[in-house]
Amino acid sequence: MMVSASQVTYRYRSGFTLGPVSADFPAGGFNVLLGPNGSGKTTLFGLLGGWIHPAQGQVTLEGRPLKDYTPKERARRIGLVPQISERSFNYTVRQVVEMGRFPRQPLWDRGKGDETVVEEILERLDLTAFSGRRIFSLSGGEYQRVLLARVLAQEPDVLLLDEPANHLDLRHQAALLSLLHEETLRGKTVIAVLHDINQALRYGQWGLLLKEGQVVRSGDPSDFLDPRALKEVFDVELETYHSIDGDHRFYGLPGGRK
Amino acid sequence: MERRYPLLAGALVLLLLVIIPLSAALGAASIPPAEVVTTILSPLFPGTFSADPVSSLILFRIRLPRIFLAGIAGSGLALGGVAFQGVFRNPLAEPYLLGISSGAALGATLAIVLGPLVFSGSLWAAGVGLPGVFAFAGALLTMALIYLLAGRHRFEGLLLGGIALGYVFQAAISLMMMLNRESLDRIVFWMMGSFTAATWTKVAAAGFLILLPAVYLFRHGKTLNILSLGSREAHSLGVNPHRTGGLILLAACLITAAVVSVAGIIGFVGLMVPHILRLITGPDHRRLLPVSALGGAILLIGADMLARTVLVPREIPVGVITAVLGGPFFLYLLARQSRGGEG
Repeated sequence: MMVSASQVTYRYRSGFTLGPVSADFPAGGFNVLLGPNGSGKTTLFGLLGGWIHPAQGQVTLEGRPLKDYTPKERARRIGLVPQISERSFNYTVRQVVEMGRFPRQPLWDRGKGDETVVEEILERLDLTAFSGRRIFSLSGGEYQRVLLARVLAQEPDVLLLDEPANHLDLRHQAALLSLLHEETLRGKTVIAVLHDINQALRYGQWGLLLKEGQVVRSGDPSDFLDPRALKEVFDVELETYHSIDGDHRFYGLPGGRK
Repeated sequence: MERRYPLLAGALVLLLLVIIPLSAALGAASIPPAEVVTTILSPLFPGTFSADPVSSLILFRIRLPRIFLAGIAGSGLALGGVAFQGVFRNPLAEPYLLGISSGAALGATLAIVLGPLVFSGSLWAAGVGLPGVFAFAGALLTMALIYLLAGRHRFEGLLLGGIALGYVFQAAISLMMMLNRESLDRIVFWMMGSFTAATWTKVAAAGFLILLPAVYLFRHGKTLNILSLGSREAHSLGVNPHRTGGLILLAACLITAAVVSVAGIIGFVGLMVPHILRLITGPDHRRLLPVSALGGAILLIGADMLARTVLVPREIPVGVITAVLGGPFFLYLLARQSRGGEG
């Protein structure tokens, strides 16, 4: 197991409590976290990333408690694409991507080969033409890709992505999901918060379904994402469609017909 | 932009080398710039250059310490500004944000009001001045108080605590000013910033206090870039925003406290210098820190030159100059920015 949470809980002053959650995220897997707004996905993310600490229980990375890693050590293993990222200063695209190298650099200098890594990643994400652009001038979706490039430059073993497809158009959503799939083939562990049930169904190899801070289902999403579970968690009757060959299933929102 | 940076840095170094002798030449007794240069060089090359004893006295005892103090103070405030703006992720943050200025002002006011009563002719603070020592202590105590009361967990707590404590201290200062009208001039002058009483001791004290925290800031240019992304992203890139960000703020606060205690409260430098230079260099803190140190020094040396020459024989508090020139310029920048310029 790459990342494991055992009986972790987290309590907010407001009274919201997450957990206890236990979960083993298989290494090299495409893992998904699902659940409605406020169900604790982002909190669980924080615990897995190590920037908040559980009240009880512990998170381990390759068997070693996450809190025993130094911040830089941890950042070489776990990277994050955040959900909403405010842009306070007008860096260039290249500068932001280069910051992904930070945990691998000495405090003052650049690291060896940093330039090549950054160059390759800009190329891979179709950002080479953008590299000199200032980030204030980018659209939400463009900046999302820059953040993705940054996390790839970080070269972590575990990629945490908080609703990474949110601002992307269809072409880039497809590109993102196949890129993440590629990363899992290279042995990286992906843990993504996804809102789109159909994407989770299609790409997720393992996942957790959360409701009000509790895990209500876990395992292979195509096993547990049945209409009953979705009704129970999201409180909406979804319509089920099947592909002609019967191999795939899709959910659609109910409601008005035009 | 790649080529513009060395050009900018070079231009600033050159400007600093020009403004030092220029500022030394101007004053109540004007000394020709050429003589300034030969006088400054005479102790280094006694055979080559000779110096007039009167000019030498004016330069080495009065003007040069003053210029160096202004330069150090300007660099310190600008570096503090860069650090504050980076950690708080706000280009409008300034080094007085956490109530250091009001803490220092309260200390200085106490020293001015009570000093003559308690420590008549005291020697121990002779070089730096009793208000300076009290101001430094006041700034440090304020920092500790705000941290303990409000800021142990959140930066917003630090900010609000600083503002709240600032109001309390301002009230205390106003009260003391009302009750001690004979000290009014000294207090007002101190609070608006001045290098009138510059001595080499003050230069050494300020330089000594600023050196280590400044080195710390220079080493953490890249860290500041990471911190400026926000706390969650900083965490994920291997920087603990509370610990490292806190240490960077501490360094900036120590620098600011040292400057305030030798120069009083000089506004706008810490806010304006980083902001202007960021428009030219971009926000990368590795570049912003060195040019801000240079820019701050140039700005305050220039402002102090005006402060003591515009209304000869009277002196204007240097803080008045920076505010009068800085305010409108800053408004112009803001207007330009809101019309869609580069931030």
